[in-house]
Amino acid sequence: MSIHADDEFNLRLALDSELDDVTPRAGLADLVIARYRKGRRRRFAGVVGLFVVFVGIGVPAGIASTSGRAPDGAAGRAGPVALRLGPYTLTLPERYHLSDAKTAPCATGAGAVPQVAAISPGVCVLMFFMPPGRPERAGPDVPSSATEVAVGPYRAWLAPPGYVPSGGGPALVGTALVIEGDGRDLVIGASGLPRSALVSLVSAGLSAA
Amino acid sequence: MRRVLGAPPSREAEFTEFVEAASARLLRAALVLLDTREEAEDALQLALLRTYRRWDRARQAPEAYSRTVLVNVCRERWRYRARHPEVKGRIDDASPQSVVLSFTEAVDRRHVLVRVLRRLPAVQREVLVFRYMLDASVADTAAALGIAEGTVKSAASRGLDQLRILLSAEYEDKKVRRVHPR
Repeated sequence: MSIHADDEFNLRLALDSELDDVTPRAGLADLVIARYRKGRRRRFAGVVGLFVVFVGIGVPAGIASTSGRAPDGAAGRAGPVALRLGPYTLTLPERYHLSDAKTAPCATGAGAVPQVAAISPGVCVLMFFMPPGRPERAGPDVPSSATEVAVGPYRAWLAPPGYVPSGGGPALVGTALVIEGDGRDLVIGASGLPRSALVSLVSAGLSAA
Repeated sequence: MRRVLGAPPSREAEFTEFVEAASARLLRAALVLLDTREEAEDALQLALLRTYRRWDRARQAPEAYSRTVLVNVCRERWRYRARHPEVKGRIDDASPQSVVLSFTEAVDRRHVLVRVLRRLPAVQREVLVFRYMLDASVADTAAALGIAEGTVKSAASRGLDQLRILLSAEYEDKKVRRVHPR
């Protein structure tokens, strides 16, 4: 057969004739389908791997960012929250989380006094030691308008509104409960919490080492 | 179990039927568009793989879809070769120093018309392949190659003219060799 391309028909015939022996390998469709499945498995494995990596990085980071910053690094911990100061531990319900005492809503503004704080929506609890009273006065510096209350095994009294401890202590915000201790008194102040609720909270959660 | 994990059987069956019917023509087209049988087979496999990936869309007109994919694969190969001249290039059939590297290449070189077609400019070669090997219409060829219908017609006409000239020269050369063997 002539392979001269005299016209389109001849070209088509010539190509068909010349390439008659060119045939694809047997089972080409199966080969392509197998290759497709292999690629799909690889892509799936890649997506799963990426998902695992992002979850591994993102979940801890997300938890850390939504929790408050705790001075003792207890942020994000589940369960009751423990507010510790000296020998005292005040265990608070789960809805509370530790907060920076200097920036908490119930902060006293007295930076020199060691303080710890915890917050929950609308409520702030602050704990610090009462500065020592005047040396010439023996016993606790209890104001006359204070209300004595029983808090577990401790002697305590509720400070009147606007009470400022003697000895240059910080002004209290909201309600304050003073626990008499050996040598130094513990002050537990709260904002957004009624006096009875504060007493109940401290009665249930306060312990000393 | 296979039905749950893999594609539905109808999809595979349809694709297999299409490959059996069309793969020979597509392979021959790839053989003209590329330089070696190995390259043509690789390109065909890749084109069919891409077609199968989009089978839901391609099943409406699988032949048109797959030949468009095939020409795109071939163009990718040309571009790759242009960017990587160090990779083994095409065999220059006209060169007396040309070396036959494998049995399949030796078989390829027996295809005189294919060799001559490969010497045509890319657009003319693509148009002749689409029009006279893959039986695509002028409109389909224009759509697949991304050129105007007028360009398809002119490229086909010039390609045929050029092919005629090159084939005549090829035969003249063979006649001379036959009369005056070296």
